[in-house]
Amino acid sequence: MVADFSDEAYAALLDAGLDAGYEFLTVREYLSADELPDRFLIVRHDVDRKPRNALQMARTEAVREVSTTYYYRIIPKTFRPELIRQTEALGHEVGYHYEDLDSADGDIEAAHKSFDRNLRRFRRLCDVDTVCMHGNPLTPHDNRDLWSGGRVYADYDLLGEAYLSMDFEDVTYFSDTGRTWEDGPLKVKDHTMGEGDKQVQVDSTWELIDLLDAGEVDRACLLVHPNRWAGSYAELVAERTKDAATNVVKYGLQLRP
Amino acid sequence: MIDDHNFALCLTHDVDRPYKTYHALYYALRDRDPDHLRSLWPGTNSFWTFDRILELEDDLGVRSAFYFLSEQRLFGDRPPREWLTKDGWRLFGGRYSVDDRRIDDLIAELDAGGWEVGLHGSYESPTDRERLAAEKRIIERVLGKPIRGGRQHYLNLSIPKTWAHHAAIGLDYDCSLGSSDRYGFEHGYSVRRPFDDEFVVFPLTIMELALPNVETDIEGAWRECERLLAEAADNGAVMTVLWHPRFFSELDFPNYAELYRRLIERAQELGGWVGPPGAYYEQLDHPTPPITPRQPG
Repeated sequence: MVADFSDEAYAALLDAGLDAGYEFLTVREYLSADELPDRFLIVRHDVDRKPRNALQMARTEAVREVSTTYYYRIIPKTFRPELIRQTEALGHEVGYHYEDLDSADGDIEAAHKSFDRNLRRFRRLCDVDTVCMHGNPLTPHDNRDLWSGGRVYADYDLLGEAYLSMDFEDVTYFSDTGRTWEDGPLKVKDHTMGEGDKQVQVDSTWELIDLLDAGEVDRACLLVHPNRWAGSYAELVAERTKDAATNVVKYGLQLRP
Repeated sequence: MIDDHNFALCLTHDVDRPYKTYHALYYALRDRDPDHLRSLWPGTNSFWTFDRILELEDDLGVRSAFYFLSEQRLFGDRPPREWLTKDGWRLFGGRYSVDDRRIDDLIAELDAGGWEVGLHGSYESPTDRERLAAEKRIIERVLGKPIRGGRQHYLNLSIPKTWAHHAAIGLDYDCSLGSSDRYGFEHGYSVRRPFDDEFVVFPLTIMELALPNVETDIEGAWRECERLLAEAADNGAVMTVLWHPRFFSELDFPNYAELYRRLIERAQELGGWVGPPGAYYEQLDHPTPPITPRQPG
């Protein structure tokens, strides 16, 4: 029996998408397409930690000729220039997983300065056309509010933002945050904006695979955190334990008055 | 001179001590300033200024060269009699390894961004070809490609032996000819060819340490820099400057970063070519290599 949220389960998910005839698009391709295919999957990876897991996933995808999008945080643990370049060299899109409003403690001007500096740092390594906010459940800020002032993506020569620029009425969003694909209180800041009520819910990767097999959704965006998917049983146990502890905190946050 | 530029300003950085460790205590006592002790807290290190340097140079649209050491460890490689000596600590204390993840990541980021990575030959290496070759191999292993040149630690040179070693191990240039307490064009306005072949020496025009009273009188120090830039422009010179990364720490070395920025901006205003020595070397016309092999030093 293959464990869920393992490398094997992820490979099975990709294969299911390919077998069911989904076209895989990067966020860049989605935002720049004149016309979108009828059926597509956008796989978005937020690299919050364990960048080597991300590279492993990038390889798993590359052998299947699947291109996805990797958003890296700029913290020392994930901003690993060689790994980032290798990810791009495998044919994937790389973007900036920004958290500048958090680091500037809500000061929009300071956050934009930091965003500009960090984006340039990424662009010295690779082509960056899209960005995506990092949601830290323990901070009072939503990094997407960076765009609440007068600045627009074009000011930074960007096509868009992965949460804000995608039409989630048309594209169904599934996220592995909390080690479940089901929406709920574990997704503290990981939610789409605006309308887009979801008609389907799945919990395990196997249910998601069944959904793709059955063709119940034509267009979907999957958020896959590489650090949540384990290559070994020991890593799986360690990650599950860590997630269980994090989930307790998240439930606690939901209960706050 | 390159393209339409009437002179050149070559930018270099010797990566000596990127971590402020025991220096914090030394500077705190010397300056009677407890602020230096903040560098001892985990996650703070005022000598790690690379982000600032890259941003500054990127802002100005220029690139430079960073020369990395692969030197011996005080404890482990050096004899115990040196462990408690001032020279032992000065020369080998605070050493870094290019295999440290942060250094490895830095080298990858520099290379990806178009900066030059080179060899900072260790204190023991100027007369030791094997050691120089081994240090070069280590830096190249981390970088993943051949390096072109560099500078000797403490500007240690045995002329012409060290250059013969450099050329023999496959380096194209050296930037060690100069002084840590004098600045100017004492070694001429052009690059030198000690063997009349493609091996080139870039004389050092300014090491930041040599400039007078930078921390207390930046305008006075700037006048000296501006004078040298004008002299370079008047004489079609190749001017090479060395700013150690720790001098970009405003806490430890006030005004040096500002001076460096002004140097680049003024050189650009005067129509100079600004960049790393490796890129300058690439654009030089070189004499045909000699038919007879060069004598080893």
